[in-house]
Amino acid sequence: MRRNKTYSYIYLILWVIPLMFFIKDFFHLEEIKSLSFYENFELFKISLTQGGLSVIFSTIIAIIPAYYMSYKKNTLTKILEGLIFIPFFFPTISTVVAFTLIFNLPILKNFSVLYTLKAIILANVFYNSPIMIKYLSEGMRNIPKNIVEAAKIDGLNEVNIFFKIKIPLMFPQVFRGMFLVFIYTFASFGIVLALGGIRYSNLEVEIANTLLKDANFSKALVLGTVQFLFLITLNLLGDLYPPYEIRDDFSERKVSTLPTLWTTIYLLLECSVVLIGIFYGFYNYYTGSFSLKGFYKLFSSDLNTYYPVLQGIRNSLLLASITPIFVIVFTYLLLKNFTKVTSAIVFSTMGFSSAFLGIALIYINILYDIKLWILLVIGYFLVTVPIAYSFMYQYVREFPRDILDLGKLDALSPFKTFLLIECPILKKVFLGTYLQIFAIILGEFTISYSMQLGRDFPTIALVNYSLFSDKKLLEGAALSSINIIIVVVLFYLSNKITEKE
Amino acid sequence: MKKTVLTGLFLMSLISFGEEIVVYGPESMKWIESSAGVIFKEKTGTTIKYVPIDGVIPRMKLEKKNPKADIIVGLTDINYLEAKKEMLIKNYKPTTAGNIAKEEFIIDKEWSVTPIDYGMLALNYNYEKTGSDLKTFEDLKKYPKELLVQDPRSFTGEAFMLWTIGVYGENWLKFWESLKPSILTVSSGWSDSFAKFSVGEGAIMSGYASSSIYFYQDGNENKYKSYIPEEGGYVYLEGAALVNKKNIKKSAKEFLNFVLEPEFQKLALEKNYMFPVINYKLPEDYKYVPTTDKIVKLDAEYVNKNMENWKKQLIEVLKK
Repeated sequence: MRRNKTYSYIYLILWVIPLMFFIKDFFHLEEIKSLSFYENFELFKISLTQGGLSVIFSTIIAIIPAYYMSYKKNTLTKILEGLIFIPFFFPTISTVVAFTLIFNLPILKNFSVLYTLKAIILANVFYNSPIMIKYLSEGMRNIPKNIVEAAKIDGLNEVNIFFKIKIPLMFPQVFRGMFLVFIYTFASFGIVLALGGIRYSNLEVEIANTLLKDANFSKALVLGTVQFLFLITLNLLGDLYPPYEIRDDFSERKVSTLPTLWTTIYLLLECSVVLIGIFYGFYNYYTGSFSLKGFYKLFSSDLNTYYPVLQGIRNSLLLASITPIFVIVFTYLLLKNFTKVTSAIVFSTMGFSSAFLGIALIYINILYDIKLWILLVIGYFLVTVPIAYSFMYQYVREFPRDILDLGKLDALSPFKTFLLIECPILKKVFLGTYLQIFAIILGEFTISYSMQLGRDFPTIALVNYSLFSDKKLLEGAALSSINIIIVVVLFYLSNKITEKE
Repeated sequence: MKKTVLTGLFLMSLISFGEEIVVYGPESMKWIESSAGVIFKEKTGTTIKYVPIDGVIPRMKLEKKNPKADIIVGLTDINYLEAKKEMLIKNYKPTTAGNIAKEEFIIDKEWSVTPIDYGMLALNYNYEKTGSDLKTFEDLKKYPKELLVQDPRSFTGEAFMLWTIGVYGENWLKFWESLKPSILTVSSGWSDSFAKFSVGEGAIMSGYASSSIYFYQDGNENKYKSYIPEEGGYVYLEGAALVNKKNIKKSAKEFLNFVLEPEFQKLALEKNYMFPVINYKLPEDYKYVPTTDKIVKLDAEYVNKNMENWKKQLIEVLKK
């Protein structure tokens, strides 16, 4: 089949255009010359430390649950699998609120965790360890039994088998997981901003501050470029370790009490953060009792005069409904026209600063008065294509060739092939991806925050942030609860829909 | 015929809906649309659209080619110089300038900015947590990990930094270094600090003297208090300015006239918890606001020249 590189390049161009206008008008070489290497290197070091430590601890925490998951199939493993919704869909604002509450509990307050590196790493581990569990368990499951048996016959003991056989076989898969965790934590925004404070500002937070508070656009551009180049290099390194295509059948094994206990505790801790986020909305912080007051107030016209909650919900739902359609259609075309450069282009953009993208988009609005919702759709489109790409990759790329060939025999056009053959089979995948992108957009914060759309086009995340900033704790917690419940339901539905595929 | 009807409809729409002016400013001044906007509309027929912006000068720099705002509010007697230097604002002397009570309230003699109100910085503290009253800057050092300060790139953070420079002169950075063990966290801005302070995360925060009115209105005057250190107080003025753009709306100038009228000044008192720049009787609860006669002052030009470097130095200390 003839492959068309155009779609990959269109995606790249869509990224470059908004940035181009901004760079053209605000990049000044003389400003770059005055930048302090030491100061920026320190920022890079902080990002690196946060990313590195988060990867290490997420991996360590995940090893035992992953081990459990690769050899067991029960309710516990089902819930473990479900945790993957946290890194992708759990709203940052909700995480921040839950951890602020946890670190302020009397039992933990004496440890002074809040506003330290520990707070950032703990939140990052909560957020990202499910990614490591997924990749580690897949890696463990895919180690073919016959290779291990052959090693045993060759006289290798368990330790040698682990280091010489299992680890090298698992490494490509685990590397992908580590890479994802590293990207998310290296360029983390909301968590660092709220739980760390100025001392732990990483590159992404500094980019936003430089853009919004210092107006030093050239410096922000340099920081954005450093972040982008570093992550793209790392991504390309990942291609040196392609995953093994060998798959082995699942075989259940006996798992001892200790790993089961560790896995249960881990699960309880992860779920408790999510549950705190949900139940906090039903709790009156001031009276210490169960209450629905936050919800009543949230939808009152009085509150809505100052905090556009209803408008925020309406706008977020609008954006979350429209954008996934473009994302799915485009990602499908990307995958159908997959070439060597596709993955490199798609994943390289994951390292780009969302705060910078937000500013570049608002600059287009300033110059050409393009509607804000259109720009937001473009922004969300750009950041969610890599995620849709990961979800849809396996289904679209590995679609049974023999079925497609039957379509060719009937001289069906590509569009008719899609409509009559692929679409009926893949519709659940599309629907699942749609719901997942929908959930991500509902919780998105960085782009809309850096565009400062609170007045002109408020979104749920922005209104929620505004409520918490103005210490409207009951209303903020209620809105956060609603957001989490929607996200959990969407994730559940999407999983139900796709699990049969 | 068609043209006449369309022109008629267009004119009618102008008459019935009036003009709209866009005002950019800090989140804390949203009342300009919801409260002052109602009075302004009655007076002039013009609607005010208030857009809260975090960092109004950077945003104006971004919009220099095609400014969307007509007015910016929240400029201070210090940072207006940057806006002026960058030619982001335009001179206009309001017709109501004569209402200003004291000469010292006039921020710029060329009227690039119109004063709105003034206030004093203070340290707010939770008496139930500190257990005793605080009196000096040095007292802050007695409470490890209890002080909430703001990023010097934010408005209050910048003002607090200038206050310490005014008090400690060349030794200001040494003071900050010795203050570090007391700092719980550096928040992104005042709202963030105040939220943390209100939920009991820190016992002391750098903020405003007039927050005492808020504590009093909430019935918390015995729990939360404010003090101005004996070393001296810091007064700052807030102002509004016309955005420098091709077509300056008549109603934008009318807004600046309105700012110095008693109705607007009353709202600045009630909603902004600040002091008026015209002669206006203060409400009873203003007696709870601490004041001092010992004020530290810094030359605006000198500050503007060194501001960027000072912020850099302080951030470096705070990050260590």
